[in-house]
Amino acid sequence: MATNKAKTISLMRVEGLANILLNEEDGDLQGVSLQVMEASRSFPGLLIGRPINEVPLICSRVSARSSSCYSLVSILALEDALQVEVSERTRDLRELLTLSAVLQSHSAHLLYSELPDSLGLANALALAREYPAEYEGLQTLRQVSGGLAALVGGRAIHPITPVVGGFSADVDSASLAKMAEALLGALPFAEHLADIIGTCVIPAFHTEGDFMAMKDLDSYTFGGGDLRTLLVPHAWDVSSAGEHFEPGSLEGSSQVTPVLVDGGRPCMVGALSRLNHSWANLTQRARIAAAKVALRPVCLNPFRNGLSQAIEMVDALERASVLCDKLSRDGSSCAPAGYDVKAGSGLACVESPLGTLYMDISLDSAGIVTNARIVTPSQVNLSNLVADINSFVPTLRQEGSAAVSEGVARLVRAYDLSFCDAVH
Amino acid sequence: MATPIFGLNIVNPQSHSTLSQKPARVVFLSLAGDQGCEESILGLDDRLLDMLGLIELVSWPLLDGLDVPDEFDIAVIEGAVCTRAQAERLFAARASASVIIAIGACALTGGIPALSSTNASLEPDAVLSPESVSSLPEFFTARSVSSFIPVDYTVPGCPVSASEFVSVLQSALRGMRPDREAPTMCGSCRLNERGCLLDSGIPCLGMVTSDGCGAICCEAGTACVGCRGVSPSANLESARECVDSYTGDGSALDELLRIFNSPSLVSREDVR
Repeated sequence: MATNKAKTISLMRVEGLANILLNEEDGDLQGVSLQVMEASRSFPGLLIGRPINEVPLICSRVSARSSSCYSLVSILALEDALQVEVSERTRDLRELLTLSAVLQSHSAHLLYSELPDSLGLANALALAREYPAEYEGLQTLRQVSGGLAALVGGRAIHPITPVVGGFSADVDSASLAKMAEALLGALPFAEHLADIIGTCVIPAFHTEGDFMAMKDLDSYTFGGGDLRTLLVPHAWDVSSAGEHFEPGSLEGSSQVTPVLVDGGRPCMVGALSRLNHSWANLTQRARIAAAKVALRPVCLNPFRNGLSQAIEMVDALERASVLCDKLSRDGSSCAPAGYDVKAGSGLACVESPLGTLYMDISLDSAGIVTNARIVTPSQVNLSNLVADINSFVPTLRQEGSAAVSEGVARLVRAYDLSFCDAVH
Repeated sequence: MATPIFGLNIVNPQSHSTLSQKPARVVFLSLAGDQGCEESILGLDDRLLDMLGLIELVSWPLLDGLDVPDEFDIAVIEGAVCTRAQAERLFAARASASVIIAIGACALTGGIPALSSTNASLEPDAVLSPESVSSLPEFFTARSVSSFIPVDYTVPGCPVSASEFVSVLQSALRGMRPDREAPTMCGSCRLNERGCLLDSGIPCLGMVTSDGCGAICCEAGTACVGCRGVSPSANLESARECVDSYTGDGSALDELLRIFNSPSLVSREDVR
């Protein structure tokens, strides 16, 4: 008589709790599935009944590593609802804050997940022993990016200063000029990092899902243009973006709602997707760094997401430095623009480090939230990841259960998916 | 042999002179939250040297990929409790660890996840026993760690300050008494000489929030929202009247308190 056994393996070095379930019969692997163990914190529900000024600070707690982007997307949605116009300095500072989030999040993922995986090491502690220069360099990148986030947002995690209409406090010119130097100083190491990751061996695999990202014809955007898919090309104005997200489900994980796109298709979002859409708009140094390691569109291998993050860091460091320099010479104001509190609905879409982030919100005449929806990049990626696991596992099956679980864990980490965000 | 970790040379705990014969075995446990406190601690630089010289870090899932062992000495717990499974992990941790350190607003008060506490499926002030865990629903409204198990040390904030965490851990390693006598934040705020937000009619919780952050939010021009919890020396009644008199909103203080401090905390006798 056949013996069925389910083996549960906890996923490590990822944000949030999730398991890989290996179903075995008489020692033979019959199936692999992902189980999300995080409990929903019901963020959209938490917002209902709260006033405008509390929305950004509540939303920033969805994700620590992308907290600036969650704060910003909520502010943009509120400004859409309240028809608030902001100054150019405010827009520039917001872009700078977004770039700081990209640098913070990517450097954390590369340090704790991608680089140890790429080099065949157990974790960042092993990286510290075996590759101390790379470890130190990544720690320095983390400090510089955290410093940039703190400079603009008031602190490194969960920003304080971004508010509807502008910023509650500005940044002085001397600090911006000093930061511009520090960011430029970090560029050579970011390029070195791309070289290392780009030359590491990765599994030969390609996703069958599509790639979704915001795309602007003139820039490598984290908050402009329209929303697009790549392989089955579609473009939607952000104002209709919410209509193209559909809830899916994941068996055995009742707290999470994976999101499908445009008629039920799984899509990948994040650095690789952005790069596939907007490679040509990277800064020149970032394009050179990508070309050196032969990363060009269209790359279908999700294991290249980490390399794409390294390339985005080159891009972000250079652009953030230019922005800091510009803002250090600019005497205009980012003081919050005035607005009339009124009933209305608004929405916004940004590219967070982990991918496309969407929010819509409704207010009553007193400015109290009556409804809200947040679609996180990890929800979107989860659908594609599950599909990828199903097609990746057969390529590993003959190597045994241990190889399967290690391979799947590495695939999950390559996605840089946060299970905390996914359940929010 | 020294190992560079967090940019530092970490002395092998076994060879380091400590107050006890063996280094304390430390685990990190994550419950419901965004892991911002762990991210904050991971961002430490040179200040971790002494701490890591005194402990044996046996499991930190976000960092080292190692499973939580059955036996350890100190459990550092981040996040609110939202599930029966999390409650079971807490009781197991309490049974193994001689010291429990709860870090961050989610662990200390339920934090922002507890904002939905009006829909609470549990009595807000109930402290649960290990025997009662099996009767809990699988999922419930966020609660603090101390709703389930006794907590020995706390590090407040959202997120916590990494240096404050190191300081508390050092206190725990040395067996020092937890410092729970934080005054309210207004004192620090005045030292910043930025003026009072209440003068502009903006409700602020500086009068009741535990000090220790340097009034960072007020310094950046926004109100204190109480992420460090209510100070034992707060006079809530008086603060309520004061905020009402400046803002004309009698419920402003309590509404702000809800963000990070569940209603149950507000009714506790020791914070009156």
